[in-house]
Amino acid sequence: MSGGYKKPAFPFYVLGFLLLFGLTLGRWICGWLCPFGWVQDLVYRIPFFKKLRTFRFERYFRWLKYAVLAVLVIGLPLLSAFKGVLVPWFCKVLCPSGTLFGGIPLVAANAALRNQIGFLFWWKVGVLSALLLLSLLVSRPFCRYLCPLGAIYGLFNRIALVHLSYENETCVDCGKCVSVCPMGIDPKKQFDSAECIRCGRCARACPTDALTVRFGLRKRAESHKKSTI
Amino acid sequence: MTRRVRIGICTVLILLGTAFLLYGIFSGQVAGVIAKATHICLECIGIG
Ligand code: SF4
Ligand code: SF4
Repeated sequence: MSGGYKKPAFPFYVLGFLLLFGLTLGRWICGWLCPFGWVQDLVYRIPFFKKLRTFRFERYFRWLKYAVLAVLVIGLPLLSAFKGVLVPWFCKVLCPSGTLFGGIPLVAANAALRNQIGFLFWWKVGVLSALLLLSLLVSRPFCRYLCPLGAIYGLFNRIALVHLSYENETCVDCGKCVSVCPMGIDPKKQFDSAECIRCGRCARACPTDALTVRFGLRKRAESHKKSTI
Repeated sequence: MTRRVRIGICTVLILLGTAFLLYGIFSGQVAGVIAKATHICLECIGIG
């Protein structure tokens, strides 16, 4: 969008909103509210394809979302704003959710819009298709590797009120939690990881209730447990 | 991270978030956000 505000202003309202939601819910938002997360979950459920929990060097790809945040959400929009135009670079060149829920239905329903589509539209359809195809093999690839909102909310996971609690004493090391995690992490070791979307699947799979998703301040003992990121 | 540090960081960020939110509301930024949310943004859907 190039219109909207006339003069670029520091986004107090949006940042305040993000801070309060991040502090309360952390990445629970990714697990439970994001429509594109849900679509990726549905596609991953399609059988016949060999599912990859993780792969070699995968953890390095996870850093990409922070690059997307720094470049497409902060850096380029700031540069454009200094030149007097507001360009939502992430939405413009990458966001697959806008293409799936906005672009494709609108273009399909509106002949005038169909006449306007060009390279950008097909580029975004390509990004969306690549992510959906990847979702057949890897669970939630957009959330793992590219989503800047997930990157922001992930930073709050260590302090957010919604958290994953792990009781070492009751764990029987069966590994069920690891096998069901859609983000490909080890809930026993990474319960406070920025990658955890607080979906609670590990807690539901755990036969001894060693893992639980809780809301509120962490217990004293939990605060001292170490989580590897 | 100790419990005390965690609570300290949370408190500072809650205060900061509330202050940002209130300042944003009273400086008229809500209207800009609502305008963006309710108008079709051609760039966001890959047309603009
Ligand atoms: S660790 Fe548990 S709550 Fe977190 S993403 Fe994995 S399954 Fe979901
Ligand atoms: S599912 Fe529960 S008992 Fe099994 S390894 Fe995970 S935390 Fe431990």
